[in-house]
Amino acid sequence: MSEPAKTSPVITAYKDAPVPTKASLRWRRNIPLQLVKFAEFNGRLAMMVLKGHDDH
Amino acid sequence: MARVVILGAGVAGHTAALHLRRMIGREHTITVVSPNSQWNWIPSNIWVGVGVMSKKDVVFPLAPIYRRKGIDFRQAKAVAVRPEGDETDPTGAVDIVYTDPARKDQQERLRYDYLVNATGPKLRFEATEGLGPHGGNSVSVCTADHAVEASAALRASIERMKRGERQTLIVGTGHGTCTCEGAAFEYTFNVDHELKEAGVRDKAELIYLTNEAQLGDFGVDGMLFSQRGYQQSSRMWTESLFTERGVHSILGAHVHKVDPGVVHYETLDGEMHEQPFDFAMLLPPFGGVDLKAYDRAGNDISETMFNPAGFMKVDADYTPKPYEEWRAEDWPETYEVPGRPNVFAVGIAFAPPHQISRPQKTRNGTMIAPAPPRTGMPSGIMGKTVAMTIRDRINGQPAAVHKASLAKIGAACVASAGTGMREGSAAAMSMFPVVPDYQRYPGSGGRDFKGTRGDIGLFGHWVKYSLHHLFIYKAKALPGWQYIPE
Repeated sequence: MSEPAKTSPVITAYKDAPVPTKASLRWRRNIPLQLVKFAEFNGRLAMMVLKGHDDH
Repeated sequence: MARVVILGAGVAGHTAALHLRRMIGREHTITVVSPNSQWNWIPSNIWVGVGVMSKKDVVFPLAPIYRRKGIDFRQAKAVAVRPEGDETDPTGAVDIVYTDPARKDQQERLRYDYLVNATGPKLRFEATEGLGPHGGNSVSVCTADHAVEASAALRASIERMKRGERQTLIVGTGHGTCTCEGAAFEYTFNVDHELKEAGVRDKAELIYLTNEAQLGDFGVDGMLFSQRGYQQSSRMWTESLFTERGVHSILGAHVHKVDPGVVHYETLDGEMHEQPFDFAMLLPPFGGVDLKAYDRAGNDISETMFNPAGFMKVDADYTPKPYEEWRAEDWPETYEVPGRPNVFAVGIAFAPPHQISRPQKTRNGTMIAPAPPRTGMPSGIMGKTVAMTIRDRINGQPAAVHKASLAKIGAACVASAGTGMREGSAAAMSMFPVVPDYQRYPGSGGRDFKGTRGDIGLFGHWVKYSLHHLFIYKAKALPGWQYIPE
């Protein structure tokens, strides 16, 4: 094993990453919206079960 | 009468056993061999690891379930497969050694007409010096007991922060060839959540150390989503979450050694680094369990049945070829062992034909290659699929086959990022298919946009919490269990 490098590879932030606004963070906890997303996600799971299984 | 032997009682083996029991008559026997007396819903171990669930919430004893369902259970580990039988009998057999305290270390040879290898992984902490809770310098959440230990270590670190000390916490992969980056990812964000709840987030540097070359890879070459009229990548989406939460990251890392308080690792550019820590939860790489294979004369034929990592070879295309030439069709469909139509391997036990993420080597020759995930939902589907094949063959259709290629089935990955029915959150991802098919789905990351999506929010926690209860209900084989999909 060679000597440890002097520059740190630890990334503290991704400058180009889109950071959510306060409104987005609020929507992520908005109960009615989250209920819709819960239903959507379960719908996608159901689609996978129907399309992906060789269920004969 | 047919004798079915299933090695392993994890998601794949347990699912296969329960479905087969309801599919075939009681004149046929089903024997499950597992070294563990308890079933563990492993995805919830991360909640045990941060102290929001206890061990009893994620495990239950297997023996009463199998007794009720008429399944023969042997608490033992399989040590040898004899697909051609032995000198006295040409019927296939498995050698087992009991771990059951009442028969500890006793050996037995079980004959089978059908064998399902669902042994899961061997946790290879020894692959990295100083890794893991067994005499090493880091903790793990791979088993419920490991997670209990991780929780205690995390609480001790939080107490030190409450006394005003700064702490560095590392969560991630302890080797360049690890899989299950999603588990490390969700443990990271659950730790972040717990630190906030304890009011000490400002005292902690939380670092996600991963073998992924970029965030959002998850060992599946990342994902592309179509959302609000734009293509978004799982990379951008994950980088956003890390930046928002102030979680630091180290990418493309192979951990060489874990000393007390210091991780020594190499990055993709071949540079060596050291990272001091106060708390480290690092996952081990997986290997196949210690299982040998012998022919009828007793010669070792393990090399013909297992790959070098110890995973069982099935109906995949294992021809060595460059990454660019790998195809979705290389992946197995039936999980039948070539030339042995009564032997199958499912879940982590089957040998994948290649990585899904691009494997990379550093200039020092160190391989950094996230291994393909094949746990959870796909494992359950494989278990049920093989059960259907065995059912049909027992019922007089020797050529019957059912298929479930990872290149054709989808999966959900719900990565918890904090608990609470009103303040919890999770990154909920679905991908269809698991293995990208770049020929069938060009321009969309090899997957169908309709089934591939990622979102963060409270709903994700509800999904994860629902799955916890649904799958434990199903695994207990309570009324209607069979209607809960894999």
